[in-house]
Amino acid sequence: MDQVRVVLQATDALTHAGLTGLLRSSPELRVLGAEDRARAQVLVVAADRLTVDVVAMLRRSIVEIGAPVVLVTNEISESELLTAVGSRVVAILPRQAVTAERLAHGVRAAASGGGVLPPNLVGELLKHVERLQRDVLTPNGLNAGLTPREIDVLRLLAEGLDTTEIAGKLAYSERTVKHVIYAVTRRLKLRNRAHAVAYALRTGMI
Amino acid sequence: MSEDVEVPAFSGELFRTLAEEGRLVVDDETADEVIGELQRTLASIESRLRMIRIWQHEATGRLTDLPGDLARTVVDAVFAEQIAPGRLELAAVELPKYIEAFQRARRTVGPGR
Repeated sequence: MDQVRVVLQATDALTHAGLTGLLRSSPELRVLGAEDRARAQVLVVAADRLTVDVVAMLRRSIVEIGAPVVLVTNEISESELLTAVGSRVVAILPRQAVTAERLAHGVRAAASGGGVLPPNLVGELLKHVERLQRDVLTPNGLNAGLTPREIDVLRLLAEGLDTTEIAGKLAYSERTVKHVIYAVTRRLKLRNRAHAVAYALRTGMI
Repeated sequence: MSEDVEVPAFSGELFRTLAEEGRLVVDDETADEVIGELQRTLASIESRLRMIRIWQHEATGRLTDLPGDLARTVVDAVFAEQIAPGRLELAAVELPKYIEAFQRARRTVGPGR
């Protein structure tokens, strides 16, 4: 099997040395020097936070290398996540949880993924979309105080599905579905599931 | 990912670019759900904007002349617009970009993927 060519950029020398050691411990990876960065198939970037300088470096790398990026970082906000994804980041590894195996897995997946965002990052993007809508609708009183998740559950209840079927349909646990229904009825002072469905219908949410 | 309380910024262009580049790929069931939700949100927003425009440009009467529910809706709308001016209009521009992105990102995924 051909080795995956990796270039590493870190914001401090200690992190650089540590991650270089982890990368070199994986025989399927080959760590290139800075002079060979144009040949890299994957760029690993390690930074405490996604600062302006780090983002600028990522954007330069898109032009110079064009390779997908594995980002190792302490924490990342929603807006930083979007910036990262726009800068060719295809995997985000929490710094505290990095091991040689996880790093190698992330790099291999980045190399073979064709730049396609993995399910966990797509999930974060979907959360952004949901949150955006809630942020626009709620201040305007346009969602009757229901979250998109609650609307989804109530819609399926209105279609006659039971808890188990709703859980399967939405890929939630049954406990989550029950909690969602409980939260809605309690918060809006509704009597039971039927009352919650009727409320959602009357307010035009479903 | 860390939780934060910032107001989420619109990133319709980013989503559209990700979909055009083939980087955003979503199974058709998920895409249909997201698109449906976005379309419903957009319809609500456009309806609210029409009402705000009518009230701002054509209303010559008093709020107390309106039926109770409508008066409350007008108050909510005007108040929300003052808290976050232009956000509804921006949403009306940006949401179609998200919809287009998920339409492009939609892929039929077979079993065993």
